[in-house]
Amino acid sequence: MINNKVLFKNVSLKLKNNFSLKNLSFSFSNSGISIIIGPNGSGKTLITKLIRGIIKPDKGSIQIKEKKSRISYLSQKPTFLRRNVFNNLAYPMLINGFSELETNIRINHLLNFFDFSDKANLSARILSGGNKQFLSFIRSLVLDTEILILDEPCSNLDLKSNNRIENYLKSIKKKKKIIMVTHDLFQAMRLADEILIINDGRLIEVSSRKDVLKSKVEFTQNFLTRNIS
Amino acid sequence: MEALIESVRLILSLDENLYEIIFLSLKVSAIALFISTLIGLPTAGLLSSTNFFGRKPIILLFNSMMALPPVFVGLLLYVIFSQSGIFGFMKILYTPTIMIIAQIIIIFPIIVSVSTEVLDNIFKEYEEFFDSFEVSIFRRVKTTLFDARFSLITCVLTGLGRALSEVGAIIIVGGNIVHYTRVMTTTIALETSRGNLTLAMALGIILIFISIFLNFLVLLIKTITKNNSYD
Repeated sequence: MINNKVLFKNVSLKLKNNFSLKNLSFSFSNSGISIIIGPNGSGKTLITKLIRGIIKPDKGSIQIKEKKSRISYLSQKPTFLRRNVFNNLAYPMLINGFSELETNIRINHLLNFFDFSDKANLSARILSGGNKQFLSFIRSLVLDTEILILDEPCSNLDLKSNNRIENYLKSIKKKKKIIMVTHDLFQAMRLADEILIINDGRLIEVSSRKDVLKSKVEFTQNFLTRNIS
Repeated sequence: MEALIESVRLILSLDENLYEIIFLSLKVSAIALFISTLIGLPTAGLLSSTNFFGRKPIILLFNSMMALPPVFVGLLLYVIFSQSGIFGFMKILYTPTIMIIAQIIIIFPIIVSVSTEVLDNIFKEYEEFFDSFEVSIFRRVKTTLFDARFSLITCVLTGLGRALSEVGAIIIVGGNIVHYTRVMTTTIALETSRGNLTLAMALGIILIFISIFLNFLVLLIKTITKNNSYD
């Protein structure tokens, strides 16, 4: 029996470009927002892909309490089908066995909630970078899953959309487990209940939002100084 | 020039023999195209959407088969379906059925190869999305084929063009029998060798018109569907 929703046990993975995740063992808290931070190319995205099962580890295991279908994943580079916004949102629901009626109700609710209804009939592929990112975020919510994995959900977004996503995440964090990657340390400080610091494929530290600022780990101190000051 | 004028006159006279040949050509090629498309597109979809052991050699094989000499296909079918061949009992040599089979063998690899290339590009783009939503292989193929449908029309029409212009295989297996297996290309070959340029020229003109019509059709479909393609 796993006590934590997501548990990494001695996970190692080597990529073709020789980058590797080295013997990662940690678990995420059961609810709230866990934010993974670290320099570029440190392995943050790789961790999110491992949790979603898009790639498999060479060694070790990732144990997840929820069924895989109860995990949503927002990719750093959103891809959309050659269909309109509505049908791009409907696709994950329809392939997961939701009826057309359920799908219509849910999608229309989300489109209205996020003021995206006016774009429902537009091709998802011709939207601006920011709108694509926002649409990708909405798509990650359609299945109403217990675990949300968000890889830089706010990149390319304007302040208004950014705040909207942050407020939404805060409003659902008690009911769901959110694992998020961000480059924005200020955002991490605003949202995180738990922060994981990664460097060169290794876990440097897991800390609470408050404690991370008082960290005695040299890498954490340097990383925060470089990125916050 | 005289032959050209005569051939135009022949076309306009709605000559029964001429139109019988045209109709059979279109019928054989359309059936061959339908069957090849029905099997070829899902095959291309599977080749694009999966990464099984042996995938690359299979793609290489289909690519190589695109250059398969039709005469050799005809010879092979002749050997297999002649009275002494292993399928001789089927008695389909010198019938439109074997002409359809020959055309399928020739255009099926073309449809698979050209479509695989189109679908590969789309699938590469969709792969992570499919993985993240755990989309089944069947749905991956279905989704990719649906989203590529407008590009695939061109691939299918490439096959039709090849089928209509085919002569080497069907002349061997069809035998060019008048009122039965005589099609446009085999008639052109026969009548040219006989010196009857009027009929050959008339059929040549019809073939060119069909080719122009097909290209026009592709352009029309692309224009009409441009707004619905969401690309």
